[in-house]
Amino acid sequence: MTCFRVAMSYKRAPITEAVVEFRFAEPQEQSALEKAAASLKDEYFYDEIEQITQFQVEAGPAIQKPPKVEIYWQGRKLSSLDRADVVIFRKTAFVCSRLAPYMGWEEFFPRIQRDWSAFRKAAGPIEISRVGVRYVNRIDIPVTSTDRVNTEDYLTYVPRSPETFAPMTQYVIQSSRPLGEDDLQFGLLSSTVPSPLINTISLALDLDVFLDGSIPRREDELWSLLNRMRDHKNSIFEACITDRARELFQ
Amino acid sequence: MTAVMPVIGRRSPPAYTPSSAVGPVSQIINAQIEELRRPSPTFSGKAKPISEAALEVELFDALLKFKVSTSQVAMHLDRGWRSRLFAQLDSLLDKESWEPLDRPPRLESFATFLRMIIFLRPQRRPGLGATSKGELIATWSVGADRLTIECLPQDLVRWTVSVTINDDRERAAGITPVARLKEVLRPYGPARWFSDGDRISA
Amino acid sequence: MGLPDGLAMAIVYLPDDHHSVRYVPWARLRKDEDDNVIGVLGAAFRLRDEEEYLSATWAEFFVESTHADRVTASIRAIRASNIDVRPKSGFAVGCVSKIKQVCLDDPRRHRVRIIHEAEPDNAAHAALRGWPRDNDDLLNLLAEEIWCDAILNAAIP
Repeated sequence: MTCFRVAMSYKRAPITEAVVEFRFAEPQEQSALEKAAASLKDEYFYDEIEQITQFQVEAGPAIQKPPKVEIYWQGRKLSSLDRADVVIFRKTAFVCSRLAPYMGWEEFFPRIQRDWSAFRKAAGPIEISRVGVRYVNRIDIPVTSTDRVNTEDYLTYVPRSPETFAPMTQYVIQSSRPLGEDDLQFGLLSSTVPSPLINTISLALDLDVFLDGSIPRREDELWSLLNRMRDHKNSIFEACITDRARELFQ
Repeated sequence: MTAVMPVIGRRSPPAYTPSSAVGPVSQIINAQIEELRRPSPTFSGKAKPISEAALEVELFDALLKFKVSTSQVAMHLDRGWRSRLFAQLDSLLDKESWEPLDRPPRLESFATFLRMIIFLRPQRRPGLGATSKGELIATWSVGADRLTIECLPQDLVRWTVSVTINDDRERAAGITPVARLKEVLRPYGPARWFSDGDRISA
Repeated sequence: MGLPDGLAMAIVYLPDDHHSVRYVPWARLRKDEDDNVIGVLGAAFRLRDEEEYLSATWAEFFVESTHADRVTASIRAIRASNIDVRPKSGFAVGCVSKIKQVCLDDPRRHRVRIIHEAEPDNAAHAALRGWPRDNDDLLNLLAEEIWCDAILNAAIP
């Protein structure tokens, strides 16, 4: 895939979430994550602990022991007051996320750099095993109660069915394949999702451009890679939507 | 194209796991993928909370969910409108102001509220309140003309109006699906409440 | 309020020209889009599932010389009671006769009795018995036109 379709700028971009994730080759120490979170406390309003609670119950006719509860500390999650800017420091990954309204790469990218720098400063050199740039879109299509929506009127990545079949009530399709450049791959998912709007059918288009292994160690090269991944994501997105979908984003 | 690349003679690539995401749409997608991968019912025990959440935690949790839910439709809301709505929610769910006997507003009620707002597209934001049972109340007032809408789960609303029309005072009330709310309110001239304010969407 | 068997107590109805003061939490105050309080919501007068009557405080129980002072005394009594009065809450003041009349004028003709029922934490407590359930239109009318004189807690020292 070598064609870069011009990235369009949409007044109402359908992005519900933009995520950049760095997965680590080795788990990081909790103290480093705590230190990184502390260094960013003035940049975020909320500071929460991520943990998993496991709950074990022994079944059987014998006298029941009390359930065994184990809590596993996972990481720290920082969020802005409106909950739209999120950064998560996990033992296994750094996750920087922006929920809607998406304000553009020009706003998102510097935050990724800032927060990653804070993490690097706290944790020292880290080997990254995977880099992912994932954008989750939701296309909201106004309908009346008697309308049928032809998914191919809005998306080019849709399931195919025999003509004799009745219309779908829901679907999920997912694939992953090489991008053909930079050793990158991408995951693509298209599905129906419950619509948050009245008289609307919503389709999700989830794009994940990723690199497994051979991650640049130098930061300038890492940022350059990230920018290229974002450009590829844009091309994939434009290739997956139709002009009729574009009209919805104006 | 619909072709699939063969892997004969080569090791299969590792199973694709998407980059982590935290938003509500990605949670739905994750659940759908899990369903795809595990077509047979399997036992999946859910962890139960060890103790009842304190009121402060419940309010905090409700506010979090409301803001994340709003992000789902943020592309349909004016940025200023959204940030002022958040300020109202911060005020309503403030622990210091909350009646301890009240149940915090439910996400199902807030979902109805959001869908109603996007559907009606009022230029003016409503005042916000809540019932003791956790239902959000949206109110618009212009002088003595009042519109009060309680947002129930599953896109139902309980509405009351009191207006002056041709010098006569009229009152009405009902329970209606959100999708019918425009028709139901039309006789009462809802523009009196909804216009002349911050725009809801650019 | 339980009484030993055989011991009757005279029922004291609040006189028609007297007033009831009801505590209104912040969430049940009517506000504009900028959170300025402009009244009371009908939901402020809705019975909880477990309640048999609506609670209020009898303003004229206090012997202050002006209506405003009696209302202030009522508010202080509510603050001293078991109710957890929050900073941004308010109080609704309504005339007994008007409250009863508007309930009776409703098509469902609710006969409300407003009775002085002193409680250990509030000697001026009044119980509104026969209070309507499932009549939101009536409660909104009460909130908008009858029991609508709203006083903010922050306004009373």
